[in-house]
Amino acid sequence: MITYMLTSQDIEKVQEEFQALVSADNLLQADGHFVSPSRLQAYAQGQLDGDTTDIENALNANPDLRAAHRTMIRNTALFILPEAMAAASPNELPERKGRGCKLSFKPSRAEENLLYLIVELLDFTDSKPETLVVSGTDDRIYQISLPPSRNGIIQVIVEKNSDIVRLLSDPKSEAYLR
Amino acid sequence: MKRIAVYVATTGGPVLIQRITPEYAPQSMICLGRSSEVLPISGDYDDFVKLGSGIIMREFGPFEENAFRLDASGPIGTGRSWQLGVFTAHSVEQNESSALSTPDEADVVLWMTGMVDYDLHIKPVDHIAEKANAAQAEFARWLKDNKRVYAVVPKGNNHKELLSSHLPDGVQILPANRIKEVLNTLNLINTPPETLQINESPKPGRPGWALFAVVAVAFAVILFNLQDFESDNTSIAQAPLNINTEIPLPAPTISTEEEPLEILEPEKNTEELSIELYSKHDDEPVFNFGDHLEFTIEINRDSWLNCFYFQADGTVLQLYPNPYVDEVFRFEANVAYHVPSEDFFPFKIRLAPPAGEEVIACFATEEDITPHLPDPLKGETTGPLPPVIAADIARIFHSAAGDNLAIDEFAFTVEP
Repeated sequence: MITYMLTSQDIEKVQEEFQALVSADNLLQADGHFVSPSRLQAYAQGQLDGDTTDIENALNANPDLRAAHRTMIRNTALFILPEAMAAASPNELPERKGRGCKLSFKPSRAEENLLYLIVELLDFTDSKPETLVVSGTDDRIYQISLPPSRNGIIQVIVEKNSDIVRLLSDPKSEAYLR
Repeated sequence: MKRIAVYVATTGGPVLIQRITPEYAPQSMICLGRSSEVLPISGDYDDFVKLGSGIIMREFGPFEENAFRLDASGPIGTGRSWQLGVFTAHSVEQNESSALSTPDEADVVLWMTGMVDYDLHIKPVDHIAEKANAAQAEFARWLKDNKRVYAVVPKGNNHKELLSSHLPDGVQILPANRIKEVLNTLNLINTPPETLQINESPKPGRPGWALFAVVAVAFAVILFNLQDFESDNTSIAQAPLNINTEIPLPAPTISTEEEPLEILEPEKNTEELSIELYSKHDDEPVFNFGDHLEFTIEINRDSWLNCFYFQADGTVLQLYPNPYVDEVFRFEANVAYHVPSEDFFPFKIRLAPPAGEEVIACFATEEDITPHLPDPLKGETTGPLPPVIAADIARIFHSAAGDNLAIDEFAFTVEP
C-alpha cells in the first residue's frame, strides 16, 4: 500500500478547491432548487427550450446567481453595449455604442406612445443577433427578440413605457446582443 | 378634398391602407391595424420605398424623414401584388387634393392588385379570381353605400380573369399597363418635386414625370426668353411663330459713331442642372454574370460627380470617385463620358452574383461638396458603404448641395 503525505500547501489547495465547490453549490441552489451550470449556461445563451421557470425563480432569489448569469451572457454575447452616453436632452433616450454596433431610439410620429429601437451593426456580415438582452444594476435581465437585420439595421417597435425602454434609459444598465 | 379608400386585394379579403406616416426611422414598415405588430412583408415594402431599390422616394421624395410607417387593416401575405395599391396610396397622400379614407367616409373606393416595376409598369399577378371572390361582400356593401368603386388590375390576362369573376354591376373595372394610366383616371398626378431633380434616362417606353418636369421647365425658359425677345424686338415678335421655321437673329447693330464696343457676356445657361445616365442597350437592360457594365454620363453644366452602385444584395459601393481614380476633376457640360474610360474611370465593372435588380445612381453638383460629405462618401474606399450611410445617400447629398443637385439612375437586371 502506498500512502501519501500531504504537504501544508497541498492541504491549502484542497481547501480552496473544496471551498470553490461549496460556493458553486450555494450559487446554483436557491430555494432548494438546483440549477446545473450547463443549464444556466444554455439559458444565458438563449439555447434552452422548454420550461425555464425554475431558472427564473432561482435567478430572482439569488443575487449571486444573477451576477454569474450576467457574466455568462456578457462572455458569450455577439455585441456588448456598455453604459450609455449622456442624452442630448432630458427628453431624449441615451444612445449606446459598442464595438461594431450602436443602439438608439427614434420617436414614432404615427403613435406617440411608441419608439423605434434601432440597432445598427457596422460589422454585419457574420453576426446575426437574435435577442437584445439588457441587464440592470441589480443584474436583473430583460430581453426582446429581434427580427433579422436588413442591411445591417435591426428595427423594432417598442412601447415608451416598456421595461426594456425603462432599463435602457438607465445609463448604468448594460445591453448585449446575442 | 377627395377622400379615397385604397384596398389591397388579397385572397383573404380586401385589406384597407389605413394611413401612411413619414417616420424618422431608418426602415419603412407595414404595421397591422395601427398596432405595433410588424408584417413580414415590411422588408419588401422598405425596398419598394428606398431610393435605389425602390420607387416611392424617387417619385415622391425627397422627404425630411427617411421612411414610412404604413398601417394596413389586415395581413398581406408574401408576393408583390400589394405594390399597385401601396403606390396609389402614396399618390393619394402626396396629392394636395386627396386623402386616404375609411370606406364609410370615402368618395371613391379602389380595389387594386398588381406589381409595379422600376419603370412604373404594372405587371400581372396571380389569384385574381380568388381575390375577387373574397371581396364580393365588400363590393356589394360599398355599392350599397353609393360609393364609386374601381377594381384596378393589370391589362391582359388579369383583366380577362376579373371580367369572368362576376363582379357586381356598378364596379368599374380599370385595366392598366402603367401607373400613369391609373393616376390619370383618378386625377392623382402629382406635382414633381421642385428641389430634388431626378432625371429619367431617355429610354423608350419609360415613363418620365421628372423628365416631363425638366422638359416643362426648359419649355418655360424658352417661352420666357421669347417673351423677353418680344418686348425688345417688336418686328420679330409680330412675325408668326412657326416652330419649324428658323427665327432670324436680329442683325448686329453697327454704330456710326466711335463708341466703345459693348462687350456682351456669353449667354448664360439658364437650364437647371441635369444629368443623364444611359446605355446602348434597350429598355430594361439585362446583363449576365461575367458581362462588363458600360454606360454613359452626360451633364448640362460643368459639375462634380459622385456615383454609387446599389447591388442586388442590398450593399452599396461608391463607384466614383474611388481610390483607383488618380485625379478627381470637374466634368464638362455636354460631353458624353463613357464608363469605363482610361481617363477618368480606369477599371471595368464585371457583373457577378447575386442576380437581381441593380442600380447605378449619379449625383451631379456644380460645387465640389466633398468637404461637406461624411467620410465614407469621400471616395476613399472600395468596400460597401456603412448601411446607415447607404440608406441615406440622397438626403445627405441634398443636405450638402441644397437645390443645386441633379440625380439620375441607370437600372438594369443581372442574371446568371
